[in-house]
Amino acid sequence: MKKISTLIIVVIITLSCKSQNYSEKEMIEQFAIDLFNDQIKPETIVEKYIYVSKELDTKIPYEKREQGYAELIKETRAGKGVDGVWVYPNIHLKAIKKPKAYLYEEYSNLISVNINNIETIKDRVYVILNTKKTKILAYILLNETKNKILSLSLLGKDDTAYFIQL
Amino acid sequence: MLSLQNDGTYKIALVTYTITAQEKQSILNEGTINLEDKITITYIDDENLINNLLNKATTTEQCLVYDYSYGACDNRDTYIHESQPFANGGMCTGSTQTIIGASYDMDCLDGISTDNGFPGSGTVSTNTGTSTNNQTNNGGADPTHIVVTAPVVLQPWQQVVSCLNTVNETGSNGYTPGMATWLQTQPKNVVGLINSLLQTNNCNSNSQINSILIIQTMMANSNLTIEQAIFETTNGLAVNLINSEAIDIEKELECFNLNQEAKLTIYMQQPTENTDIVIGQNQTGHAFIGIEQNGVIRQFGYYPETGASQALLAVGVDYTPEIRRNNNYLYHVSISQNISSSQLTEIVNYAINYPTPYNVNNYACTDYAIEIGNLGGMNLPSTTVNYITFSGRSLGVLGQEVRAMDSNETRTITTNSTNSPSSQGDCN
Repeated sequence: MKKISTLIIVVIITLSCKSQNYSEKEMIEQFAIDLFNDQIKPETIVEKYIYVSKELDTKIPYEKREQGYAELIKETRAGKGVDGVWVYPNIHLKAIKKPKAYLYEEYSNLISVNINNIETIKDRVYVILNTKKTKILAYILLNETKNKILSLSLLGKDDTAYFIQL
Repeated sequence: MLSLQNDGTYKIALVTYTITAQEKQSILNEGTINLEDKITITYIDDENLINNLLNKATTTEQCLVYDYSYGACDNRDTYIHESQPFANGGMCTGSTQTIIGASYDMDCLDGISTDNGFPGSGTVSTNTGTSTNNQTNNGGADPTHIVVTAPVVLQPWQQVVSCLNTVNETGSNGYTPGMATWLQTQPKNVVGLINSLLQTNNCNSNSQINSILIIQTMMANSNLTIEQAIFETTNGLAVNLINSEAIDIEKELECFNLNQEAKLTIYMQQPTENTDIVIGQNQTGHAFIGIEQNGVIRQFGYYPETGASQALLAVGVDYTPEIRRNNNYLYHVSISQNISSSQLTEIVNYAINYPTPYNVNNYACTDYAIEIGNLGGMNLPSTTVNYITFSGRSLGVLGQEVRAMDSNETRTITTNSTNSPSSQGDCN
């Protein structure tokens, strides 16, 4: 083995990227834990984790959309997320003590739906798996700065699925 | 090019494109060139080369060996990570230590070059890579031609042939060079659908077999449309392929005689069968239209445009709509009624001049179906449902409302879960 000092800079950059990637995963994993923690109000989860766009060209007021995510979290806690219904994270996520998030590409083989234009967003798409890593329990799309969750709902019909933004 | 064989091994081929400097410049300018007689495929039977290629590290990161220093965890917790350090951020499963320092060694750049852009790090290399990201391929120059090994954008028929050729090489199916000739004579939609079938299935053996069957069927019967050939040969396997394509609805409906009566059907797939919930196993469900007349059958529905750049669908936001087929499509409830020629004319006009934009709340597939149904005299209700930020017509409620109607002498209600018919009849 030969030490190559010039590579250290590259390595530091690589690790820096990994570190950023790790914090994204860490944020999603903590979200998955808080999502089913009844001690935390849905509104608090929305405030901490969800990016509610103010620029979205919709007639629905910002406050109503913010409240919509809180309702989505309530529905998720109520167990609406079952196999095949990706609008809500899967209720089985509740039983996992330390949920793990993975980039879309790491487990794309488990994804049975065809997400429209996935190529344009795949670096921001994460999945949370069951402990055996055989099933996807939640699809998460981060915002462009990757510090908040833009969508936790996937709606698929026919061969095409979309991330749903409220 | 590596081709995965049925026994799990790989066949390796050197694909060489012999083109002129002018043609190379055209490619760089994103133009297209005719590659006929310019592609040379040389099969290489060298197991060691295949092993070297498959086993070599391909990135700088893979060539790094991490030397770690460990210490006790400082957060009173046990780090639980994957079996590979740093693969997911830290230590291995069950460790009670954490990383307190690391250094990095290069360990795998001897032998075959990994073309990593670092000068002098491999003992065998034909690349003059530099640390400034400039890569110069300096192998195989020819005084009259420039030989490039960079990928060239192939025409759709060439992509089909490239995929099907692997079947030919294994001798497991009936691909013939005549198919390449036939493909070149076919319209865009035919080649496009076959190419979509192959590409969306990563050119796997099933898609190859289905594609060859489709081609053979169409070559044997030139009167068949691509849709008919797909249904005949794949028995519904490729239904989603057909249904996921936007169609020219005007052309789709031109076979109907507007001076004659027809039968109109509104099909409803509910989110969950026989419930009024808004989102279920069938997502939000789907409503679509069927028209039948003298053996000509068409099914179609209203969708947001898939070709658009968005991967997101936002509630309350406008999108460009498109019409797609709904052949062999699951439904739970339907209502059918005979319509007059004038009603058919109105319906065809509305179907062709469909409203825009698509908006989940304001106008979506359910609204399109309700409007057309009512042009046919069905008197379908248009009940607005509110759920989270959704405020529009839901297939759960509409399905239940129609389910509660009775069949009579003018209309027929069905409540059995089944699939819609396939398109039938042509007018070319």
